[in-house]
Amino acid sequence: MNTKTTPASNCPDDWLNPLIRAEPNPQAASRAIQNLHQSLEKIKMNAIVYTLLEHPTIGQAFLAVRDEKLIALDFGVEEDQFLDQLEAEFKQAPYYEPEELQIFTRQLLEYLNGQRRQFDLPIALDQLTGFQRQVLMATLQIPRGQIVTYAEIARQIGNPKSVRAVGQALGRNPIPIVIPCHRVIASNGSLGGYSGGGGLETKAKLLQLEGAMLGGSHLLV
Amino acid sequence: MNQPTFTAFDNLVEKHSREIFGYLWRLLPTPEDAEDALQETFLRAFRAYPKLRDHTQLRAWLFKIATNVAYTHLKRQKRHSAEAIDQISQIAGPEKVQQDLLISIRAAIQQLPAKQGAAILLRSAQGLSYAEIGAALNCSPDSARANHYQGIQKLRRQFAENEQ
Repeated sequence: MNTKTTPASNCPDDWLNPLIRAEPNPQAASRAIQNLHQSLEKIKMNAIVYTLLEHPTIGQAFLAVRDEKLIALDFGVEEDQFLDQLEAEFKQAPYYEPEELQIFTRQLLEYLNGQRRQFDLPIALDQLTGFQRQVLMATLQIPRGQIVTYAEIARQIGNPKSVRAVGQALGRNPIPIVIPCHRVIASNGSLGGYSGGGGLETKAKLLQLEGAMLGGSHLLV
Repeated sequence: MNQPTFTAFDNLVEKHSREIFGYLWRLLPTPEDAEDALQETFLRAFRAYPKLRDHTQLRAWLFKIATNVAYTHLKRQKRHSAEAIDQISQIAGPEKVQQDLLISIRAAIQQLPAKQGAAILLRSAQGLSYAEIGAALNCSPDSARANHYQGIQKLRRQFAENEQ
């Protein structure tokens, strides 16, 4: 068979015309499409949107927002990795919408450039367990320039024996830098761990940026 | 990397929603069914779009989703279809004959295996190429052509002979 002998052209199947030549009522079509636009506008409001930025301190970083709240920040990963992880967690594939994340990227860059002392950004930690949330909320209270230990966080959340779990919860911090897990170190004065891109080197850089390392050379890795 | 934006998706909606609606309207019993299926099609497309790697067959991709949505809808509605036909055939007036023909052809297409029914509408009504139909129906262009042909043969027996 070749294209020239399709039944449609070879033998006009006029009997199909009542269906294939018919068109939906234009008003019904327009209404359907208008309703579709409305539904899509609604679904966009709940969509996850992301963007990326570059800064010498952390390299390429990715940020994701849903319902105007920051849900993820990551660096030292590939874009695909970041997106796959988001999708696995939120069951939703993110759209690339830099404009919707302007306040987030601006504040992050200001901070990294040493022009901003603290963040004023809405965040959401809905995907986490109650314990993880407690740890991260306690960490969020640590002011710039200060350092606390894993044990202190464990005590603060009323669970002094959970030092190791605190470390793990911080290791899974979905919004590093903004939730300053880099300000939490081990009780022996070593930096502990850092799961962000660049590892402990980045942790040290961030603390230096905040002036926390001044006079504390024993903290260096 | 081809980053997925709202604007890129909106362009798809702009470009294809009308023809997708036409397709669904031809395939499904009522305009309301078509409207529901149109919404479902593009909501599914919206969710899947950011992960779509191959952007060379976007039109076929949308028709593929629409076909899946429509046939799921038909399966669900099978019980009610007799009812729907009853309702529509009560429309009176000079267009009644055409209207009745439309309804019976549509019903006959719905009775065909999904690939044959869809291939007929995609080719004869929506003007997709066999390559596009293949992409929409998960088969080769040759198989798309064969499905179209076989479906038309069956309908021809039913309708072309009645006419004479």
